[in-house]
Amino acid sequence: MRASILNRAEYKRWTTSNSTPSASINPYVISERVPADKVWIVLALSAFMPHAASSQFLRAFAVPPPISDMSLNPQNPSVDQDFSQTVSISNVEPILSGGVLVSKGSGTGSTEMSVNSPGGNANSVNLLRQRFVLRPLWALAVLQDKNGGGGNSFVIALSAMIIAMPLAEAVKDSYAALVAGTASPVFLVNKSL
Amino acid sequence: MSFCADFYRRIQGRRWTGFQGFILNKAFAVSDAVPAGKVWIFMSLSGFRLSSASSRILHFFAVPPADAGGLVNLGADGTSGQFTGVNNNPPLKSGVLLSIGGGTGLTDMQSLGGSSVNGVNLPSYLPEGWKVLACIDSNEGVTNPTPDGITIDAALIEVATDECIPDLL
Repeated sequence: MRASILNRAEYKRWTTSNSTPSASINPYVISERVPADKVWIVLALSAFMPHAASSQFLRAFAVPPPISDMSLNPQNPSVDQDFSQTVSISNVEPILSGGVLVSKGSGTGSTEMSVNSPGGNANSVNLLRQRFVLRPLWALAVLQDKNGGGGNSFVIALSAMIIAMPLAEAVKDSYAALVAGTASPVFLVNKSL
Repeated sequence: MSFCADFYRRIQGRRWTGFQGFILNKAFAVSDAVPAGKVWIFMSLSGFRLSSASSRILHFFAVPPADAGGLVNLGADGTSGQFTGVNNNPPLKSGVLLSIGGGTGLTDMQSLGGSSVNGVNLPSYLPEGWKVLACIDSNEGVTNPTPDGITIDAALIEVATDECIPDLL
């Protein structure tokens, strides 16, 4: 691999479009979609919640269409039927229309995945467990754990370092071939250095 | 493509020492920018504080070129515009976290009296123009009247962009 590929890394930040109106609607943030003719190599991924009043636990997912299409006209955090609902909270896991976890999983006891710890502290959490490739038209979604509680005016800010690569460009031969194909969902995770 | 172990003979130790006299503001330290035409491959990254007055949680961020240019180690106790909180408190104007995340109770990231914390979650890359920033969790207080400062250590390989390197996936 040519080192020059790494110098194409871009910094991205996406923030929840509309803050939560009440504690019954959880915030979420969806990245832009990966362009149809590209894949993203995700090199770094983190998030924070600038205005939450109490500790929350965040998770990042790679999500396929149709939920990734939401990024074309983001209305978040309105209630979205792609997410699950409980009696008291909307927009929680599991993601009904599909999505795979890319961050470290946790319950509500994980200090590593806790933002606003303690309340009002805008610390970040690292959402990258391993470098991975996001296929065309997929997006990144970050949700709050449903057991973490909700509140007014919650938003999530998602930051990333990504490389957008045209499909025809070789990353590793095996990866390029898989990503260009349509035989099966492509979500490739490997790491070697 | 396979690589000989000889490639890793190019690992070099780097140290960047931030201002060591922060009293009224929170300490931070920043690396040099990755030179133009180069890429840094981090094999390891860590940081420490010499102050033994009280432990502090450190976080490590990669800062993109648009803001990295104006982000430098200070020569006196002051603040940087890269922090959107007061007294050099995160969140940052821009940046993505490299170290493990979290806040309160994050004992793995607490530095006291020269103890080091690990700054990178996995072997990591930094493109040209980017910098590494180490800072203190925003829930921590200033150390007044005890001077504070952060030092960043790295083991990295600097490669030219036209070089072949081990695959990143």
